[in-house]
Amino acid sequence: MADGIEVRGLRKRFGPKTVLEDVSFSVPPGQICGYLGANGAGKTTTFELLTGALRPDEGSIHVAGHPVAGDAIAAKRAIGYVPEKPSLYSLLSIREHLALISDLHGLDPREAGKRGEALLEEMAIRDVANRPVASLSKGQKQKGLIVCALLSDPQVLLFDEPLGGLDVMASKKLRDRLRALADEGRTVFYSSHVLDVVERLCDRTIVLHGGTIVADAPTAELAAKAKKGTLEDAFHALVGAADAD
Amino acid sequence: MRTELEGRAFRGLARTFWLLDLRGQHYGRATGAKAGDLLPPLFWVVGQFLTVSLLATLVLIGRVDLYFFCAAHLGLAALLTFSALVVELDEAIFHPADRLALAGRPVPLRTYALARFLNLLRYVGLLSLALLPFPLVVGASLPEAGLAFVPGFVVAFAITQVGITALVVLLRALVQRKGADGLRGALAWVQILAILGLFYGGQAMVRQGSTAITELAASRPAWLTFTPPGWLAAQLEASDLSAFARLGGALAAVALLGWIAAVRLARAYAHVREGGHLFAVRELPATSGALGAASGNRPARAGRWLTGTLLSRDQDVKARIWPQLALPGAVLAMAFVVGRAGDPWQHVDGLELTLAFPVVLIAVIPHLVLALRYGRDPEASALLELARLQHPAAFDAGVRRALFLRVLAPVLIASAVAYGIAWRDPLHALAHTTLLAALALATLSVAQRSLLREVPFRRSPQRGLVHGSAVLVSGSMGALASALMVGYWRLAGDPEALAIGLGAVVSVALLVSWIGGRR
Repeated sequence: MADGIEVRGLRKRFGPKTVLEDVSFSVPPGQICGYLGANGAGKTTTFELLTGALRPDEGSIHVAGHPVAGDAIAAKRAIGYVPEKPSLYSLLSIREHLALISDLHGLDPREAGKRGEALLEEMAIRDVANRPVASLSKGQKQKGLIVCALLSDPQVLLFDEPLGGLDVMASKKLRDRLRALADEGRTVFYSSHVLDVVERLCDRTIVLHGGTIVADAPTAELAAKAKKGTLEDAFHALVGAADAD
Repeated sequence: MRTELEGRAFRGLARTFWLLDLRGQHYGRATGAKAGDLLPPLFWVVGQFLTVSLLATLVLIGRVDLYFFCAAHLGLAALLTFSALVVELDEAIFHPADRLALAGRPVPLRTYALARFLNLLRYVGLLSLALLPFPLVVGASLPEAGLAFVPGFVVAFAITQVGITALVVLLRALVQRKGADGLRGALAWVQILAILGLFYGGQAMVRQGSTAITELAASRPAWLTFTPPGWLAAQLEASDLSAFARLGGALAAVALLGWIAAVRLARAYAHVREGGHLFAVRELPATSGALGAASGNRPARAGRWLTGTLLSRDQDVKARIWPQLALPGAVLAMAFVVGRAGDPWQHVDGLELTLAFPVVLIAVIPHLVLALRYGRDPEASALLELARLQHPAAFDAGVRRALFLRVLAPVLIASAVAYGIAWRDPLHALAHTTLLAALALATLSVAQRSLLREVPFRRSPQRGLVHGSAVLVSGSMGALASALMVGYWRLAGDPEALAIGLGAVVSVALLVSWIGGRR
């Protein structure tokens, strides 16, 4: 099993509602894969399945070569996750979160400290890193989440709507950082509704609609198929066609 | 239970949970304590328990024998720990933020469960530190106490605390499964009532030199020996080898109970990991049936549902509402303790506190209404403003109903039951409570119209603010209630005149309530 993400025959139901149906894809190391879909398409559920927060009804998931169902801890050690919802303890500071993550991942405290400070500096939140999360702005919280995700230098990066609340400079920095990480051989799985960013950033794009994959191709190829040659146009065409069906 | 313990992760989680507890208890919100403050919010919990324990010791010392002293303290510790855990348990073991904050992190489930369980034990340990010293030191100095008292009492105390903790965990797991959120709210009353009873009842007893507790201890009720504190106290009183063997057996039994609770907790965490809800998901009441009819139309239901839900879930709202009832509760408790809770329908004397209770309760209502201005998520209430309610008066009526049914009605029912028992005449108690309920409804309407002109829960929690308008409304309504009570007193002992007066006041109060609620 190669490193990266390997998903086979994924199915997830919540009560009578099927959220994901026979979803299969793989993302190799060194690739940034965009994951698109309308609201309720099943994107966040996929992320929660990838992180082991939910269990699939059917199918298998391997992250960095580790089966999420069988060895969730090993899989999670390889993951850096930025969830869609703000998921920090509001009464802890960002630095306290970094200390916790360092302990959870078993990182060398000194190395983790240095790396954490560098990331805080890079995301321009060093000054506020000792303040309780509750007192931070939305963008600062989002930067905190990103710093937390990158602290363990993970092999696989799962970013679910990471640009929410980020300013222009921070967005640019994050995109550059993700590209650099992919070039170093990391796997990046990226979901966003900002399609022009996906178009510029992602090597490949998967489009999810109604719980099934309706397109999986290199981003440029997908955009080229659309009349206007943009990913947004392609997305509208794909989702609209699926709805018509 | 397999341990599967990862040292670093365990330490990190334990430290994090402790920090969260220090900063995040709802007392912290009530007192405005923030992360980094010198006095962490838990200080208030511990300080309160320390004071209650001291007061109980002062009430008992020199008045009761060793057996009763131990039974009372162990019973008190059990009651207070039980109520504190019921109120605070979500923060201690079921923090809803955990699922999101730890998603995607390599946290073995059992490491997490153990860290949470340690956090719970640490919390209980802190409560125990507040409840143990006074009875331990003072008990050891009692003439009947032997050398073995100190270790014996510590073991008995540990049995009580571990047993209660395990019981609460198992009860909470059961409540979670059944989704009985209301039961948790009802149990929170235990804490309020216990503290009130001790503070004011004990204070009155010390001041008046009442011998009631001495008499109770001297004629020890038979049922007391069958309660866990009574049984434990009997072992401490016997203080022989076989008694200590029985204590050892009891310790082993509660340790087993604790283990079962820990296993149950681990299962609960697994459920949460799978996306299960920590809170029962509440829905709008049905449009038909008695509930629907009582709620009126849809905006009224929405108002009642929103207010009722936040009254049961938002710790800020709870912390602002419930402590306000301390004063009326104290007056009611004192009325019975000092014997000034006479029946106005039968007597002319001994009515002082029977008549003071309505005045105090009415004076508190504007502050309760004012408390509804604030909520933990004020921005969420902006949605209601944007929604431009078509029938704001109906929405307000729903808010009022929720406050009345969830906060005032339990007080009124409790007072009616207490009066009914004390007066030995439920009909008189019912008539008296009807008067109170009508006054409360009228005051609610006036206060809402004066103080809550915006959507409820619209402002973020603040402290230190004194609202002149609330004080004014409170003072005015309190003065009006005082005048009514003076009239009530003048008619006391004349049931016919009282019935006519009561009917008139209730009619006017309900009319005011109706007019006040209209916009």
